[in-house]
Formats: sequence, C-alpha cells, structure tokens
Amino acid sequence: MEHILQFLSVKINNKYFLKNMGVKMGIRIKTGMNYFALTGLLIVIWSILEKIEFINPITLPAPETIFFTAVSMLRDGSLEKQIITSIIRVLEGYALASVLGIILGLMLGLSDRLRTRCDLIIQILRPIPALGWIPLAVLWFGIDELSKVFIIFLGGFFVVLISVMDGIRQVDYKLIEVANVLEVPRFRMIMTLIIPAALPSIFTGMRVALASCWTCVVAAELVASSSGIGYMLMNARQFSMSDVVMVGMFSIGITGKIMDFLLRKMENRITKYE
Amino acid sequence: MENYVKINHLYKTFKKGKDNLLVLNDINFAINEGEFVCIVGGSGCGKSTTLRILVGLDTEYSGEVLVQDVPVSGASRDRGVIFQEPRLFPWLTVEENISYSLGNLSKKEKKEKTREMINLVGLIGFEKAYPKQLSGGMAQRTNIARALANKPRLLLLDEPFSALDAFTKMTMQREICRIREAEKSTMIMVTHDIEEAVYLADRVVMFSSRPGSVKQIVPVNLPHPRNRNSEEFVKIKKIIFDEFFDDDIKRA
Repeated sequence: MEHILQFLSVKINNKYFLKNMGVKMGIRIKTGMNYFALTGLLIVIWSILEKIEFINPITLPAPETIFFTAVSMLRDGSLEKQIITSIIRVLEGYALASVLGIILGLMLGLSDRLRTRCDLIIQILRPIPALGWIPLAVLWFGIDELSKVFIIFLGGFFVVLISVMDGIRQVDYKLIEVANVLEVPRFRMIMTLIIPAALPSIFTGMRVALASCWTCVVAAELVASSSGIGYMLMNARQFSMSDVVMVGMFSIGITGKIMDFLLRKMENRITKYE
Repeated sequence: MENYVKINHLYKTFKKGKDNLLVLNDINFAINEGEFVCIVGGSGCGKSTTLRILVGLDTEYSGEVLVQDVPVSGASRDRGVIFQEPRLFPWLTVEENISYSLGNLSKKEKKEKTREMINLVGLIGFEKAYPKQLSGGMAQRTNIARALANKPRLLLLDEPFSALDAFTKMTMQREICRIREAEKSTMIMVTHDIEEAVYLADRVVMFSSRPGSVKQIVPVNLPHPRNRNSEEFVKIKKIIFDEFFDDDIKRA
C-alpha cells in the first residue's frame, strides 16, 4: 500500500497529495482510499469475473452493463420518475407516522395513567410487521395510493411512538429535580426541559423510522402497484431484465442513504450542543 | 433572625422490604440568619438526606423542619440548592442556563441579573459556551450562578466541590466566601472534607453514622479570609478530626 501511494503521490506532513497539484488543492488520497477501496476492489473483481464468464450475465449482470443501463434510464427520464413516485409515497407515510407518533408519544410519555391503559394494545400491534398489514390494507383501501401510504405509515409509526415515549421517560431525574427546586410549573417544564431533553432519542427514532418506511415502500409496491421503484423492479424481473433490476436495487440503496444523510444533517443542526 | 432554620426531633427510616433502616436518629439543631453552617460526616451518615429534607425534595420523615418558623413542604425558590453535580441543561448556553431560574421577569431584567451573576462567579467571556465545552470548575460555577440568580435567602449546598480537583476546589472555596460576603445569605453546606468545613463555616455540625445523629457542634470563630495553615485553624481541624477518627488516636 505504502509503495503504491508513494508512487502516485507526494507525502507532506504525513498526508498524501497527488503529484503536480498545489498542496492546497491536494487530495487526501489515503482517506479517500480507506473509504472507497473495498467497494472499488469488489467492483473490479466482479467485473473480471464477468469477463472471464465465471458468472452468467443474465443471473448477475456486469457492473458496466448496470452503469450504462442506469445512464440510459436517466436519459429518458424513466428512472427519475419511478424514484420520485416512491419518494413521494414515503414522505407522505413518513410525515403521517412522525406527526401522529410524536403527538401520541408525548401524550403517553407524559401521562402514566394513559400509558398503562394503552400499553396492551400497543404491545399487541407493534410486533406485527407493516407488510403483514398488506392484505388488510388492500381490502380496506383497494390498490390505490392510500393502501401503500398506510403500509408505509405503519412501518414508521410504532418506531416513532416508542422512541418519543422512551425519550420522555428517560429524562435525567437530576435535571427534573433542578426544575422542581426552581418551582418551574408543569407546562414550562414540559416545553423547556422534558422535550429538549428527549430530542436525541426522538431524532434517533425518526431516523430508524425513515429507513423502515423506505423498506416498506418497496415491498408495498412489489405487491400492489403500477408505479414506483418497487414496481419497476418486479416488472423488470418478469422480463428477465436483471440489469434493470440491479439498477433498481442500487437506486433504492442510494436514495435511502441520501435521505438518511439529509435527516442526519438536520439533526446535527438542531442538536449542535452535543 | 435567630433560629432562621430549626430542626426538631427529625427521624427518618428507609423501608427496605421487610426491614426498616433508621437513617436519621433524633436530629436537633438550629441555624441563625446569616450563618454559614457545615455538616460534616462520613458517607452514609445521613447528611445529604438531611439536606434534601431541608430543600423539600424528601417529604417522608417525622419531626419538625422549619424555615422562618414555617414548616418545609416541597421545594421553593427561597431555598436555593447547589447540587454536587452541575446538572446543567446541555442544550442551553451558560447564560441561558443561569437565566432559566429567573421566572417572570422582563427580558431586560433577566439580561441584567444574568450579567451580574456571570460577573459574580467569574465567567465573563463564556456566556455563549455550551456545557459540553466547559471544565468541571466552570460548570459548577454556572450551577452556582443559577442557584444564586434568585438571591435566595437560604442556600443549601450538597458537597458542591467534591467532584473538583484540589486546586479548583480551593479556588471555589474562596469564591464561596467572597459571594457570601457580597450576598449575606444563610448557607448550609454538606461536606466530607473537614478542612473545607473549617475554612468556610461559622459552626461545624458533626454527624455520626448509621444511624445519623448530631455528634457535636463546633464553633469556628476565626476571621475571614482564613489561613489554612495557621495554628488556630489546625487546632480546630484537629478537634473535628479526633472526634471522627478517635480509634486512630488510640492506636498511635
């Protein structure tokens, strides 16, 4: 590794910079390598295995094929259209799950009485996977948008609910004692102490919920849809277009990662004191 | 006011399953207005429990606990508390933490009082810092400022400096003396540091352990600022030390 780096670059202050670039513009190769090396290596091996026909190109297409298919799909706009359709569904279900989850989570977290009464029904409904609701959703809402949004909503709702409830119940009692000594009235205590203290837990729950919602949209579309990235996947499978399938899978992964990244950025902005 | 704080026949038991553990056994003493009293004892002797009862955070006891002849029932802003840990709100800056204790005042008044407190505890320049960025001593100063912002007539301190290093501790002890001169509040401090007690207090109340009870009350009639190494200081320290560690003396 060291030899390759030394061949390609110049070492200054223990960091590697590409030769012939001013130091200020230099790229930290080693950091980049740490991050991308393994994936890059796997892609190269994959490509080689395809070339020597060790893998059947129909079962698993070559990385180059996938790349070019993706490019052409982006060119004619079909890929974006499906991705955006799915994203919209996710956002609808996720927004609903977040709003209801936070409101109910606050109510249950703050009121012991309410929580004991609702506990049983939550414990029964929670373990049911969102996808298990698909037959019921189709029965109730048909194969329209609503049934898919309902599934996505379920995917995120319980996660948000539990994380809000736990966040509130786990506020450090030492801080609450401080507020009690200062004779802070209940409402002010909730707004200025309990909710801010519960925010880290709430944000974690919201990130997990987003990932869960995203998983649900693909599965829900696999079953009952005529648009969206999940649909695109199933459709391509039926025509043995495995390259399109792979493009779909990668799109799902990348979109999910981007959404999580954006949510993380927002979280960091709000909880900049951590 | 004489007997600003009165504790009469204070008993407390902890219920552990079927057993009852007697924690406080007939505590009696009184504190005058403007006094600085230190309660000293080993760990588990009930000194912190007594303080929490005085604050009003603990209401299960028998006996009388009176402040200005009024029984204590629940916490009150008139009885400020400085806990052992800084207990700052991590999402608020130093000045926001301090002004949290100021309830219904105008924005301008809050700003003024906060600035006064920041000057008092010596945190100028750190107003916008978050607790995460503060050292232990600075966090504790913020805690103190927050407790003092309301100018409580009675201040209760629960081992406030025991988590600090030796240098910071001595600096903070000097600061508390200075603040006490400036504000003229009545202070009751719990500590396990005998030297700290002699340095700060007008009277030292010694607690014995298991169950907790008042062993002896020693007056400290030395002028401020006190010299930790002076003969009189060491003499008083010795009295207290011997009272606690008399078995060491017998062995020596």
